[in-house]
Amino acid sequence: MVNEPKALLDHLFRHESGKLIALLTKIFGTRNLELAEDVVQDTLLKALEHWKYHGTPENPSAWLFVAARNKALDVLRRERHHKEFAADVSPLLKSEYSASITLQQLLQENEIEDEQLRMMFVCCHPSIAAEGQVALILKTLCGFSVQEIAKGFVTNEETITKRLYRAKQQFREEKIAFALPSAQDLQPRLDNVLTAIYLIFNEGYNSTHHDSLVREDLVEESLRLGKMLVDHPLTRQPESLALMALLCLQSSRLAGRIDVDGSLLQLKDQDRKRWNPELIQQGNSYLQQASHGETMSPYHLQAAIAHEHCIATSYAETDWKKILQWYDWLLSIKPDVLIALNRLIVFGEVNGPQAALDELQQLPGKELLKNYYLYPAVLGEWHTQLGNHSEARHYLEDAMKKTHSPSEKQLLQSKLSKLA
Amino acid sequence: MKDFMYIFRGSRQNEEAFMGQTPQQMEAEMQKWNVWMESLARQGKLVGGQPLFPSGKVVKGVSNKILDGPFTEGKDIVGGYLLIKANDMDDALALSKGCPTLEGTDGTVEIREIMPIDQS
Repeated sequence: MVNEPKALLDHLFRHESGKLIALLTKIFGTRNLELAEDVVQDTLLKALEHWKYHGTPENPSAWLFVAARNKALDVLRRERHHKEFAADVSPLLKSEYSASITLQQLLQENEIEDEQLRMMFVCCHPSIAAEGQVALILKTLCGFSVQEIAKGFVTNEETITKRLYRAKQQFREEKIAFALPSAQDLQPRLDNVLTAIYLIFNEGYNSTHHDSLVREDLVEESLRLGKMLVDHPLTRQPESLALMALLCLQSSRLAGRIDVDGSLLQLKDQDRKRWNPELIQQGNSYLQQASHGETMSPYHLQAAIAHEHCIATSYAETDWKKILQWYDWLLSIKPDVLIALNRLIVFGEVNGPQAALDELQQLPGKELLKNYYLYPAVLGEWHTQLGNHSEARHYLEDAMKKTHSPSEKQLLQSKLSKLA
Repeated sequence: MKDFMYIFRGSRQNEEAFMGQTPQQMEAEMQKWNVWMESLARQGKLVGGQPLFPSGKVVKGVSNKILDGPFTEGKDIVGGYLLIKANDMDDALALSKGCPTLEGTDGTVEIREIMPIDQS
């Protein structure tokens, strides 16, 4: 183990802990979520200690499952007189006659995807605040530490700790079943889950101001969770497929966004050969599957936009008119000022920077954008194109102040240096 | 529904043999217990209970004499107990079917109803 890179171990622990917490929460009951987390934490610590001296076992996952079972048995013995576990197995877990065998039967690696899917719905229970849902998914299913979640969402650890605390309080107080919603309750519950996955992806995809490892993990985790949704017959809904298409198509371009020196590249400067063809192909296939039925969700439209970018052979060849149509549609079902700003960028490609600037004057809610770096950055770009160099400089400098990302600053700097 | 207790008894020899099983034998044995108890739990009739070591101490009243026990008094010793819920004694009797204690030639399940003591 000593010789293995820490990242590999982190990766293994991240996924195994997600599986184990899901299973143990099922066994202990959702109100004992914290107990499940403790068992997993102890198990991982034990593994670290043991593997350091004895080497990594051949099947680390199986090793962790056995260790977790032993820890769980200890916990059952300690807590059996003052806690109720999952109702259907609680008496079996409390008796020495049956505890060990019951644990063996329940704590197995089969059908683990289903359990994680249930856990996703448990985390996104409507009684839990939206921000808490996302934090909870990352903590329990993706094995993120409080510190990593705080980094991922650009906030401090205390905020995340509070969110998690409040969420877990709901678990203790409410009887939240460890189950998938019934078919008639599915839609609103699924919406919550999709939003959470989308937020996780966005944090990983858009933010450039923090640790790239955490960012890649966020993207990877959102893909993993999304895959579980589309692989299950109940949750394989058009929206789920559309979200999955969006995630695949967007992440296909991740590698292309960074050049060899690690600086950020704009879409027009990207080498399209570096986009991931496999992800594009998967994304297109999900998008096709998402198109069966009547549903046209924001995910569908965003995926359609991403699809247009992916099939364009170059920036110049991009079908901006079509993309603008998708944006118009998207804005009509999801009036959001950020979407409106992104639509305007496309509008500028179709109708020129002056038309875009004029249109921007009419944009409702544009004051909400004033602290968002993209707003002055876009203005700077349009003014550059129009040859208004002093305005361009003003806006680009303003944008510099509004981003914390070194790579974004660098990109703005290079634009500034090209101005007369 | 009423509360009942199953008291499992077996010969000292058998109870001690239980302790000396290989892990594989032990697991197979516990599988049987689990199957039976799972069916009780599924019907909502399992309350709880534990197996007991075959040896212990017995404290005698009045003299407070301590004896090695509990088997000095009779040939059978208590191997464990289970609390269950049943409609009546007949139901409790029927539910005991499948208990692994009854597989051996000398195992017994004593069924006793829990006596509620009302406030005066």
